[in-house]
Amino acid sequence: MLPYINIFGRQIATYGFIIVLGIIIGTMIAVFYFSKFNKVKRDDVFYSILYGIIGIVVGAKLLYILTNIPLLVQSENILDTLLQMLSGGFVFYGGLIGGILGIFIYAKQFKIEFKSLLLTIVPVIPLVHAIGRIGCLCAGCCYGMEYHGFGAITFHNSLIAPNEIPLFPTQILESICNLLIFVILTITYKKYIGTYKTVGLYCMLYSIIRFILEFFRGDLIRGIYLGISTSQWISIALLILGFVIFIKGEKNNENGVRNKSVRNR
Amino acid sequence: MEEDKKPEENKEPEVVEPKVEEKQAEVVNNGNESNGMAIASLILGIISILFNFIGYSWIGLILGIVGIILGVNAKKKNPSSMASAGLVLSIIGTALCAVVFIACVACVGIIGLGASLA
Repeated sequence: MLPYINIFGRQIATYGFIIVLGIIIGTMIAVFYFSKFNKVKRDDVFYSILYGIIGIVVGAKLLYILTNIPLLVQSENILDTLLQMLSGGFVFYGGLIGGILGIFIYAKQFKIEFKSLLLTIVPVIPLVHAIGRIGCLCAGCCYGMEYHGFGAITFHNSLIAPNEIPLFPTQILESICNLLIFVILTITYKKYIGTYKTVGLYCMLYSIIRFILEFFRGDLIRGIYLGISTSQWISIALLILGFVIFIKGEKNNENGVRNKSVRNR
Repeated sequence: MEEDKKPEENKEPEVVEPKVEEKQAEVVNNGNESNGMAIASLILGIISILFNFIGYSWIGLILGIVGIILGVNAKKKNPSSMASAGLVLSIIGTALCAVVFIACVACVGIIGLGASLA
């Protein structure tokens, strides 16, 4: 739809630009709003997000390169292939593990409670995701199946999505759903404050939405196992995990809003 | 009894003095260390931005990430304007380079590679 934008005469990938914008907005909300409810300083939330982002980038890329080592070894120009791998390919699990590990390393290094940091950052993840999906729409990735009904999108100059074919608007729908999850998490945040229930709720809601939306996806590169896609299997696992976290999530503790002695500056 | 107490009172300064010196030395060392990290962060941040503009974003991304880590450590140990500047420049450098490099799961490098070659 709009793969590149020109800023000061320089061509920039819209996806990257929007995702960076999303991260900035998400970080600001976590730092200035959600940090108020937990036993953490604004500075620590900000720095831990930086560590988390570094973890996401390093983890996602590292796992992608590790899974493609045979391709790297076979290539004639290893440096060029390595650069291509660095510029594309993003293993979700690598990013997820890397991001959590980044926050954990920060918490350990500076002796800050990991739980408080995690609970401050989790509610903004769907917001960043929602903005990121707009980037997908611009780039033409994560596109839907052929569809001729209401709201169908037709790409004309996409590098990824099939051009001139009306497609189901999976990106827009997922963006709206993520935005709704963000609103739900924000409304229920005070109720579940100081517990892992917010994390559980997010896992459950997102996995349900993703599972349903996967049926309308049209991109072919994702594998199908026993009739459902890899992402749907992941969604089932995430739903169970989220349910367990939500049920087992302990009741309110001293981390709550009532503890104003450690409020931020 | 009084004779017994006197030597103990005399001993106190001998025990305390080295601790104070050690603490002062530690503070000075931490200050120097964090100052070094702040300078390194500042330099890496500037280089990271420069690399983005000359077209080597992948080098800028790595340098920016290292700059952020050094900047955060410097700010946590000894908050200074130099550390803040280093951190901010490293974040800007990393963000500028990341815009080129981040690609979606399904994009398989097309967008990122296209932008980096442009």
